[in-house]
Parts: sequence; structure tokens; C-alpha cells
Amino acid sequence: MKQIFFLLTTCLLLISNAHGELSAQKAAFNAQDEYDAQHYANAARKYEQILQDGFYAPEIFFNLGNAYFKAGDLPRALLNYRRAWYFMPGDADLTANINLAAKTAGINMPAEGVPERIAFVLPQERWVNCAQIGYLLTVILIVAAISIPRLRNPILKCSALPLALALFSCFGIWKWHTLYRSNEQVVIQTLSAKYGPTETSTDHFKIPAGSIVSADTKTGSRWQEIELNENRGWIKKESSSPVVIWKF
Amino acid sequence: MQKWIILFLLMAGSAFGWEAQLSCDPQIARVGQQVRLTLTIEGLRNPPQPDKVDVDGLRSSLFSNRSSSIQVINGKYSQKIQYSCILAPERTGEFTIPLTYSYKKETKHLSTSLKVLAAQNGEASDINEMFFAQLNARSDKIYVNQPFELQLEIYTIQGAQITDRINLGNMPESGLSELEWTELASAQKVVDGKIYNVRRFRSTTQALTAGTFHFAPQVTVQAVTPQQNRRNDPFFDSFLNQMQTQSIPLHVEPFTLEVLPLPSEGKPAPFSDGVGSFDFSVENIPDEIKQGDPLTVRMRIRGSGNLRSIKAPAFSSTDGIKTYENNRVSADDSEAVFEQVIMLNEPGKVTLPALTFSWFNPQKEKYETITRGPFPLEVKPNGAVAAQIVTDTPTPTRRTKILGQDILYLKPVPHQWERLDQPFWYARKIYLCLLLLPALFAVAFGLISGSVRRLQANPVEARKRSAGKNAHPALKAALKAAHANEPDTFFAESWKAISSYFADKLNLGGGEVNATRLLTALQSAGLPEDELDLFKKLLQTCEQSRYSMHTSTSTGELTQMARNLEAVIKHCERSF
Repeated sequence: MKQIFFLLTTCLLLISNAHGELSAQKAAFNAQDEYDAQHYANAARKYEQILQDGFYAPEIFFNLGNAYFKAGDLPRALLNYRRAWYFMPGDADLTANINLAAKTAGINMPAEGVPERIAFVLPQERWVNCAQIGYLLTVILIVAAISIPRLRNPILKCSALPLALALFSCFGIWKWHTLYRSNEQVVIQTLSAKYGPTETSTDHFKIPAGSIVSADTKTGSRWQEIELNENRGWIKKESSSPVVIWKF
Repeated sequence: MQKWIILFLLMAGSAFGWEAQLSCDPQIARVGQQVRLTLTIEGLRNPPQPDKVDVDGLRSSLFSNRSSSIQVINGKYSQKIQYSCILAPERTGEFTIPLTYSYKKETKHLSTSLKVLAAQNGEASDINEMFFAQLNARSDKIYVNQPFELQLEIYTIQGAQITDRINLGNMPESGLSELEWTELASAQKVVDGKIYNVRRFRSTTQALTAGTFHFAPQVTVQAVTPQQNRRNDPFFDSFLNQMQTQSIPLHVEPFTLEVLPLPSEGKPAPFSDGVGSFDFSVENIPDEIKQGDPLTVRMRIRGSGNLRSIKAPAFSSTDGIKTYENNRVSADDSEAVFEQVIMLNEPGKVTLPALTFSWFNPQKEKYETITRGPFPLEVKPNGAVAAQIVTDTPTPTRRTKILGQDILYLKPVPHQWERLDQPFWYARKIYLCLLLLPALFAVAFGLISGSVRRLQANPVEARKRSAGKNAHPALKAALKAAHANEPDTFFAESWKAISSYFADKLNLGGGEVNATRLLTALQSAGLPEDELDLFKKLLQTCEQSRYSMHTSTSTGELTQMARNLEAVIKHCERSF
């Protein structure tokens, strides 16, 4: 009886999920039609509805960024381009659009060091795939080395290669993880970061709309401490939107 | 070939215009000191030697030294030829040295000046006479934010040398913008009858606040002292004799600078914070634009003043016009360029408001204002959205002209969707657990392989380990026979199990297993007394049965004996 109940529940969940995906796809087509008809605000609304329904895809973030750009809302365009970038950092179209939006808004994208530039060539999922391949190959070669004692040394030497691939991929995964932990936020309106989390605090530095900042949302209730170009200051939580809205 | 023709034309053409310059080094000398007089001729390939100069009070040699240099800069060919001679001043005074130089039909009248002082009677003994410095501001009346020049001059008496390590300290710590010093061409000056080499440094700065600034700088130079040879080996001397220097703090006359605040009277709003003399222009506004396309308006401020900190006027957002911050694109000493992005979202005729730029002119001591605009333009409904990239011709050598800039079009609708509330597949616990399986498999495989290999190398251990397994069929058959009440079969199979098991366990031959040996082994294995008795009884019964001494045993007894045997083997499995 319990097994039947479990099977039924699983089937219902699968059916509802498939139905949700179909609805999201339909909504995405509608949004594209609105975009083609130059009703950019409507297109943006429809793409946002897909996100509110709990579905996402990198292409949706990209298209939503386009809709906002065309509607003249550069900060939100940058926000969604940045979201898409997390999943397709090497995409040429996305890079071109981000650069144009950033140049138009007069902001600089977050500076990256050489390790970050290397790690962000591939999205985190690709690094996981590479790590998996390296790991499995290493295990296979170790098992082979155990099985064939006379070829143990050359096989173990060969296993260094997939092991290196696995370790390097772990570095990529860790860099992405660090980025996720940095809790990036996009500032929606031009404002000044303050020295403290109070209205009466002195203005510290100016943050142009569309700037990507790292935020510590745990501190304070209405305020968050942010960092931009090595400057730290306080802004209200409602003045920025988080880049990462999906569970990771 | 084409290059050679151009080079020939350049060289030939160079003969049509030539320049000559006369100079002497040093420009201030003492009686008896040698002065080099140099004639530099540019633009002639083979100029004739100039005539000897004839000046009363100056002994001159012939222009016998000739040197030449060729330069090609940005494709421009130039040749310099220098003739030099030595002058020896015989009396004091200021001399003008004339030289007439002719080439073909063209004649140039050149001259240079030389100041000759009396021969030096004694060396400067005071260090403050040998080295000193002067710092001064090159403006009298200075306003807040008005750039002004500070000039530092370091005087070194002729013959003395200082290194490039010059420290300047004790300047006002706040209220001035950052000082960046640039070295100018060095010169010679006469102070109190002494000839000094003067190194000159200049920095442009601006006062950030009004008030009195006290300058009492501390300048330290490294003077080169005569070398002291520590050894008399010319080979090592050339390598090891380092330049010896001595740190000397210089005397600098302190001075004060009064910085005036900008007058509040007549101050326009908005004010650009500009102090100086400027011109303002607005560029890059077309007559028509597509709806939604970003328009980058350029604001250019030219002139002299605080261009690096000046603020440009900017358009502000209104209905249908969305504006962004204006950004400083570039700024130097003569020009500051700002850009502001504007997006016009409503089609139709639009007028961008006029921009007013105001600044304070310190020369005229008043505020000035320039207004540019308003700027009418037509916003056309947007048609195509993709970036327009047009090539002139299909030939691959032609460059592609980018006519406009826009974002790239939408991505296709995805077929695969993710849920916002579900973590990535690789962040799920089940995946992380599965990830351990290959590693566990490898470890298990390694352990098993090692064990197998060890057993292969040790047959006694292998036999010992397989004892239970080998005895199991006979034990099973004995139990079956007990259930079927077949005592003969039961005892035969029981003995088979016992002999097989203990032969393997104790590494004995088939005939070496007997009751005495087994009981001794079991006793040493710590089998409890009651179990030992039962086993002893079983062995006796088995032996009776084997030697055809039939015993009448019930099914229950047989089953019990089988269980006892099983218990003994289990105990031995644990003990041996």
C-alpha cells in the first residue's frame, strides 16, 4: 500500500513538473513575441513571471536582460546579464551585451585576478563534470594498477594526469563557490554608501546604478555592508537586488 | 622601389630648407676656463666648415671637430652636423659671439652669448654656499581650486655633483592636491659671483581650502664625494670603486602662501567648481535617433585651470528621457571630456534642455557662464534591433565598418528548465554519497586483491581460512541425515566434516586427524568443558559407528549432536 502511494506521489510530482516546464516554455515564447513587437516592458514582465513561477534557465536571464536594456532599465539589465553569466561565462553574445550595458551605465564590472579569470572560463557545472571525469579515470587507473602488478608503475604515473585534472577542476569549483558565497548584489539606483548602518551616517562613496557589489546581508536588519572596489560601506537592503536567486 | 623613391625625395627635399644654431657650453665661465662653441646645421648633407670666430677678449680655435647624426622620425629624414671649436676667455664681461654661415646663396647670421667672470680666488668653504635650494610659487594671488605652480631649484656650485636621489619633505600635509614633480632642463646661474648648476623641478598643484599655507621644506641631496682608493689594483679599482655620496640637508628659505576663497557674491548655480579660463562645447547630438537607442552625449571643456577636478553640467531625467551619470572620459591639463548616456523612449520631436557651464575666472576675478543648447532632435520609432554590421564589398581585405552599436538578439527558448528551489544536481546529498562509491570500490578492491595475493603466497593460511567452507557440505549432509534418522550416514558425514575441517585448520594430512589430537587442540582453543564433553562423546560415537559398532540413536539425539558439532566448528572458527 505504501509503495503504491509512493509511486502515485512520484508520478503526480513528475506530471506537475512537466506541466510547469511547459507553461514556462509557453510564457517564454509569449515574452519573445512581446520583445519582437518592441513591447519591452511587457516582455520583461513575462520573463519575470517565469522566474516567479520558480523556473529558470540561463537563456531566460539573458533575454530578460535584453528586455530591460531595451526598456531603458540598465541596472536590471545588468543584474540579469550577471545572472546569465554565472551559467555561461564564456558566451560571446552575453559578453558583448554585458560590455555594452556596463559602458552605457558607466560602470566597471568587478575586477578579477588571474586565478578568477582562469576559473571563470567555464561555469561551475562544467568544472564538476571535469572533476568527475578526472576522478573516475584516476580510480579506474588505480584499480588497473592493483590488478596488473607488472604494469603498476607506468599506470600509476599515467593516473597523475586525470588526478591533476580532478584537482584543477576542484580549484575551479572552489572559485565559483567563493563567488557564490560573496553574495553579489546589483545596486538598482545611484546612491551613496554610508560609513554606518544609520540614515544619519556620513556618505562614504558613490555607487552608480548597476554596480555589482559584494554584500554581507547577515549584518543588521535593514542595512547591509557592501564592498565595491575595496571600499566598504553600508546601504539599505532594498536598494539592491541579489544576483543569485537560485538554490546552490 | 617606391620606398627608395620616397627616401630620395625626402633627402633631396631636405636641401631646400636648412637650419643652423650656435651655442656655447657652459654659458657662464671664468677667465681662462675653456668653453666649447658648437654650430649645429640641420638639413644639409655636406655643409662646409664655418670660419673661425673673431671676438675681442676670446681666443678661438678652428671649427675642426665635426660630428654628424641621422634621424628618421615618423618617416621624416633629418641629418644634423655639428662643428665645434674651443674658446678661451681672456677677460671678464658679457660677450656676444657672432657667426655668419653661408651655403650656396643662402646666408644665416647667428649669435650666442657668453658671460665671463673673473678667475676664482678661493673655493666656497661653507656647505650652505656650495649647496642650497629655493622653493617658490609662481603666482601671487591664488584662489581655492586654482592650479598654480611650485618650483624647486637646487643650486650646486660648479664642480660639485649631486645624484638623482633628492628628498623633499615637510611640505604642508593637508589642503593641497598631490604634488607630482617634473624635472625641467638644468641651467647655470651666477649667485654672489659664484657659478652654480641649477636643477629645476616643477609641480602643478591646487589648494583645496582657503587659508595661509606655510612652506618650510626640508630638501636633502646626495653629494658625490671624491673617491678613496682602498687598493692600488687598477683592475679591481675599476670594478669595486663605487661612487661615494654624502647626504646633505639644504638650506631653503621658508615662505607663506595666501589662498583666497572664491567670492560668494555672484556665484552662479549650478557651479562647476572650475577655476580658470574655459570654453565649453556639447557634441554628438544627432538630428534624429531611434527610440530606445542609447545616445552618448559628449561634453568637452577646454582651457586652463583645474580641469582634472572640474564638474561638467549634465542632462537630468524627465518624461520620456532617461539619463545616466555623466562620466569623465579623459582629463589632462588642456581638456576634460565627459560623456553622458541618454535614452529617449518616446517617439516624436524632443528638445534636450540647454546646458549651462559656470566657472570662476581668477584673472578677471569674476564668475563666467557659457550656455549651449537647447538641442532639438527627432526620435523615430525603432525598427530593427540587431547591431548593424555592413561590409563595403565582399573582398576579404576590406575592413568591416561598424555603423551602430546595440545589444545582441535574444537566445532561443530553452528546452531544459531548472527549478529555483532545487539545488544543483551536484550539490545534492545523494550525488555526494554516490561520489564516494568509486573510491570505496577502489579501497575494497585493493584490500581483497591484497588478501588474495597474501593467501596465494601462504597455502597453510589459505587452507586454514577455507576450512569452514570445505567442511560445510559434509556438515549439511550430516544434519540432513540426522533429520532423516540415518545414523550411519550421519556419523560418516560428521566424521568427514570433522576430519576435513581440522585437517585444514591444523594443517594435517588426512590420516593424521584423531580424537586425542583434536581434543588437545580444542582444549588449547579454550572450548568450554561442557561443549568439550559433548564433542568428545560425538567423536566416540562416530568412531563406534565407523568401526561397525552399531548404536541405536534417536532422531533428536542425532540432531542435537549435529548442532553440537556445528557449535564446536563455529567456536573453532572464532578461536583458530
